Amino acid sequence: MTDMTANGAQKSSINLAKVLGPTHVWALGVGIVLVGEFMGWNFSVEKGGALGSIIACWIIGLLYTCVAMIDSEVTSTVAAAGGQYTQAKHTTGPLMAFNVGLYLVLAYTMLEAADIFVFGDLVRIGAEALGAVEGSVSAQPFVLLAVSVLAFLNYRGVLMTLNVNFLITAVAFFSIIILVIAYQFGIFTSEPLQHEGLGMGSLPYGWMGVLAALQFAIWYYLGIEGTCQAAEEVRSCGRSLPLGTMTGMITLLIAAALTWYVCAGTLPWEYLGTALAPLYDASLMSGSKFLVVLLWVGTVFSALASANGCINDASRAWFSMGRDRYLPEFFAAVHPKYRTPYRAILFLIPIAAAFGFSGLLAPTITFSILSGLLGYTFMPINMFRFRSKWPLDTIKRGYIHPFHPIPSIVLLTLCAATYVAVYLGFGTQLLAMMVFYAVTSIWFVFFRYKYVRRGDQFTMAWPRPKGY
Amino acid sequence: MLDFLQFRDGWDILQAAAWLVSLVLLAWMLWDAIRVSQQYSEDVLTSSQEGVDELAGPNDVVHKA
Repeated sequence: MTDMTANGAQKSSINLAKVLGPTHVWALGVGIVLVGEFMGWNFSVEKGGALGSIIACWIIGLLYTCVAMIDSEVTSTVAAAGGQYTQAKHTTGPLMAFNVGLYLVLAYTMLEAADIFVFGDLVRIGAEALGAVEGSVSAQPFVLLAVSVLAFLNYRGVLMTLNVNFLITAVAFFSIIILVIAYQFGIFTSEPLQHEGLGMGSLPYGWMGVLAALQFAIWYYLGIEGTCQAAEEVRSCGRSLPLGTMTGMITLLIAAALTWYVCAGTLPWEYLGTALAPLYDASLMSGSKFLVVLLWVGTVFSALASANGCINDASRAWFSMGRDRYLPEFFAAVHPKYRTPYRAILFLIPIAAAFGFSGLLAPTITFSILSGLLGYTFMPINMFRFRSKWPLDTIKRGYIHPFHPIPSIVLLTLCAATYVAVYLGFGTQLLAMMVFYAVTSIWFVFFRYKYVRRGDQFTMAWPRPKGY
Repeated sequence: MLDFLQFRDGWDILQAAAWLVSLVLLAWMLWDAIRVSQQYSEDVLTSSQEGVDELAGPNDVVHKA
């Protein structure tokens, strides 16, 4: 906890603990996302049919592969918490950084709220399935229990937090694999997969339906970019972060394809497009108690893993903005014993709990998705500026993504297409959110920017940018 | 007055336990945060610095604006 200053004097400092490896990065990224395989993605089936959903899944998979590649390159050099906020701060400027930071905090906090709501509701459903009188079990105590236990884990240390996330994410992932194997090879169930018979082979609403499906296909991967928030706490950022992020992305591509395959083969597309928990429903169709219990556990674990990762990520983004005084410096405190951003963790608990209690699942998730999408739109701009200010031979990178600038152009194009899709479904919310971010930007420029430490925030051991 | 303590079945007890555990954990975190803030100065608590990866060599120089 002691650092040397420029003049050689010793200065006491408390930093985040560097204790994580690539498996923790994987657990953080996949943990946040995997709940989207258990619920949410299937609304894309309602928009574009089963075939339209898998096409949208691949298109959005390409979008997120670009996100993962760009993130991996930039963050392999920016070993700092804050993820895309820190990237934007270094490559573009304070206003974009403030906006990106806010997108991150809101995207993760709203997703966390949705996760704990889902957890509470699953416990209620489970209780009623086990014989509790309908209406006698409330979801609320379990919503609060989830957020307080997970916040407690996060408060006490990042290593245990992500070890737990690794375990429960792995169980959730293998529950999908086991369900697919069970149907494919007739183990635990004699029900066949019947894609043709359930309306797989057509696009009921044509290519317009595929376009509309893009907004819900985001659920397959939303949150993988959260791996960047671990940059300051991994032992070797340049190596662990790209490895964890890219293996996480590969895991999600496999999980998304398998999820679609088993659900589209067991449930009629008209039902699948409106189901609350499609993988759980697919297990119900098997008639196997083992598979039903396994998928219930998988769904619960995926919701908890997602909430756990979201607490981690939202608090790191909030903490980083406090450290640079984009927010009050109070939030930049690190716990001297547990080495976690404990004030940022505590501050965000009531916000997540309030939205979790509200039961407003659809608006909460929409807020999260739109915030994420706005963040992705800025990433290609950051990437162009990063490569032009610091060309490949000027700073060492742990990972260099291939074919630049194609991934950035593809990402920008797919973001534009997804905005059209979102506008078709949630036009008012999209415009309302943009107004919200415009108002917060005005607040930042006129009332907050004067507190920002303009020079001190650039701490990377980088040479001067080209042209400066 | 203490009606809420009259449990109908095991699920009632489970719900009460969930409330209780949640409040204990939240109270502990709040107490610990206040205790830490009293024991350490703000300068020390907010002294963290952005990390530097080992890929950055000894000859790389930090340029402040």
